[in-house]
Order: sequence, then structure tokens, then C-alpha cells
Amino acid sequence: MFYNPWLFLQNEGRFTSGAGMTLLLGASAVALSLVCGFFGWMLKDSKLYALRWLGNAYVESLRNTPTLLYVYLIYFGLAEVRVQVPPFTSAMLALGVQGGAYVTEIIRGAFNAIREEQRQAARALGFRPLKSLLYIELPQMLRIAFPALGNQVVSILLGTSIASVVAVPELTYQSQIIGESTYQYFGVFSIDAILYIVIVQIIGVIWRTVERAWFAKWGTTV
Amino acid sequence: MNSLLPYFGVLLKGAFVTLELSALALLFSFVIGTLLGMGATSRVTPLRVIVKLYVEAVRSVPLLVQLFFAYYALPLVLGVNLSPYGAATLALSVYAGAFMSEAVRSGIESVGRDQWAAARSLAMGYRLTMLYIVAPQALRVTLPAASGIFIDLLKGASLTSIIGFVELLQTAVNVRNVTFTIAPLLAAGVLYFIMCFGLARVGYRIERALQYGGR
Repeated sequence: MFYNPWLFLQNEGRFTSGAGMTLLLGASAVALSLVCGFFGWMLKDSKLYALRWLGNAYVESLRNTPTLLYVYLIYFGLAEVRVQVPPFTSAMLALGVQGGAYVTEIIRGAFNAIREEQRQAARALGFRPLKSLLYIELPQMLRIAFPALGNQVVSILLGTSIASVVAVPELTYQSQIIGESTYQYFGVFSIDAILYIVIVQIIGVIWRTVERAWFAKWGTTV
Repeated sequence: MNSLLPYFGVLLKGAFVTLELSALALLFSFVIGTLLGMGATSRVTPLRVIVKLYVEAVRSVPLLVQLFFAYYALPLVLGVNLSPYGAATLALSVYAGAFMSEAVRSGIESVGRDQWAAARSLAMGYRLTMLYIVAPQALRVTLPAASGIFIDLLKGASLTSIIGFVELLQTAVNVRNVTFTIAPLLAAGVLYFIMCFGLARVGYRIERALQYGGR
């Protein structure tokens, strides 16, 4: 017997709290990645060569190395200098800082997609660079970057499963615990997978709805 | 850093294991992706639906969960014991196969409909057209995407350490447990960077070399 239909109901508490933790960790990491991505973009499009180099180094080094490496680096590296960081924070840091490298490129792409005329028109109307960024460029950038950001949100959310390695009680960790106590790995990981699929589908629906409701009426401006 | 020198060979070997596992998974995923990609572009609706479901399901589930599934759940169902290496190869192939099928699909779709019509007028059937007309042109789109998938595999292979397979990252952790510095982890990071960044450059070269027209 490898599947017990009541498995979900019997362990509902663990599954739902795990899913909640996955969402919380995912949301925190996404928020951090947006901040990191914004700063990464500032560095990469800076006028100073040294800062541009730093931005490039940030993006390329983090995009070309696995997330798990950062989880271990934070875990072991901070232990070396006798700093204790809660598992949740270390996972959030690893996912957020690495996600930031991808977000940097998304923001940069969106900014470059805005035509130069928009900027010139803003200057002609007396917008200073900062105000023009806030009122003219950022709203349009958000629309351009929105689909790519959705993919990034999903990929960070799926990445949170790695946090189970440092014992953050998220969905995958809870599934492992249930699997170890019931030995019904097939059922447990099926439910685990289905929960992830449901969460990802919900995000997809939210994204499509926002796109239709907010951005569709803009047509093909920019 | 001096304490790391004797372990450099071990780390290199770990990098080689990571490359080997990823290359194997890439090979299998290419087979899976080609079959599924052809299914995704076929006229048979159920086939398209099945491929779409597969791709969506694989892309909505973390690779780590797929690894656990292959390692813990499948043996219970099928009654066969998979080694960590076998489970890792299986899960990575299935995972990359979904992305590869998308790459193959967009490759096939990049070839215009009129080419199919022209081939038809020359009395070429589906197989001949696919083999001699569509496939060579589809590769232009598929190959650069495949290099991106290979990079994802190299990074994803690090997760196989969690089911007990010793590749580059696990080697680095093992060395750390002897030397008690994070130097081996940093060294592993450099090796990952060299592999992935190098591959990205190769992919870019391939893309440039295969481009034609508009230059």
C-alpha cells in the first residue's frame, strides 16, 4: 500500500503550515530580490566604471553559481565568525540576493525598452531626472517587466524548497518529516507537488488578472 | 588558502562529476525534449494537451521535490532501488526534458508554415520534411536554448547532494568538514562560475554563428 487517501487530512496541519511558511519565505525573498535588483541596476547603469564593474560582477557571479552554495556559505561562513543567523533569515538572504541578480537584468531590460523620446519629453516638461524616473519611467517599466517578474516570483518560490536543507519548516521540509514518520513517500511527495502546482497556478492567475486589469488598457504605448 | 592545495584535485574531480551528470541528463533531456517538442507541434490535440500538462507540471514543482520523488517515492512504487546517481539522472532528465521540449517546440515553430507547404509540394512526407527541412533550421533556435538548459542543469546538479550524491558542492562541504574553513566552498563557487560562464559564452557564440540574414 503506497497511497493512503486520508494522508492529506491526517497531516493537514503540517501541510498547511508548511505551505504558509513557503509563501512567507517566498514573499520575503521576492521583496529582498526587488531591493537588490534595484541597487544592482543602479550599479550596472552607473556612469562610474568601477561601479559598473561591481554591478556586472554581482550579476554574473550570482547567476552562474547554484543557490545551495549560498545557503552553505551563509550557514558555514557566519558560523566561522561565530555569528548565529536563524535558518529563515539565511535562506531569505541566499534566495533574495541571488534573485536580485536576475531582477537586475529584468529592470535593466525594462528601462532600456523605454524610448529616448519619453525621457526627452519629460525633460522638456521640466521633470528632473529623479521625478521623471518616478512618474514617467517606473510606471512604464513596471508594465514591461511585469511578465518577467512573474516568472522570477515563481522561480524564487520554487527555490524556497532549498531552505529545507537548513531546516526551515516549509512545505518540502514538512513533507520530508511526514514521509519519515509514515513511510508513505509516494503519497506525501505527490501532495507536496500538487500543493506547489496549486500555488504556482494561483500566482499565474493573479498575474494574468493584474495584467488584464491594469496594463491592457495601455495598449502598445512606450 | 594553503590548506586547500592538497584538496584541489578532489574538487576538480567533483567538478568533473557534476559535468558528467549534467551532460548525461542533457543527453536524455534532448531525447525527451525532441519527442515532446514534436508532440507539442503536432495536429493531434490529445498529444498537445499531454505535453502541455507535462511541461506545466514539471515547471511548477521544485527540482528538489522531483529529486525526492525519484529517490524516495519511485522505489516504493516500482519496487526497484535507485542509486542516488540513478535517481539524480532520472530527475534531472525529466526536469530538463520539459524545458528542452519548449526549446524544440519554439525551434520547430520558428520555421515558417510555407516551408511545410513547399516540402509537401515536393511530395515529402512528415518524416522527410522534419528531418531534412525543419530540423536543421529549428536547431538555430534550439541549440542556444540548450546551452541555457545545460547551465541550469549544472546548477541544479548541486541539489543532488541532498539525496546523497557526491558532486562538486558536496565535495566542497566534505573538504570543509575537514579543514573548517569556507575556502573550499569559495573554490567550488569559482569552479561553478568557470563552467557556467564559459558555457554561456559558448552558447552566445553558437547563437551568433547560426544566425543568418539581417546582417
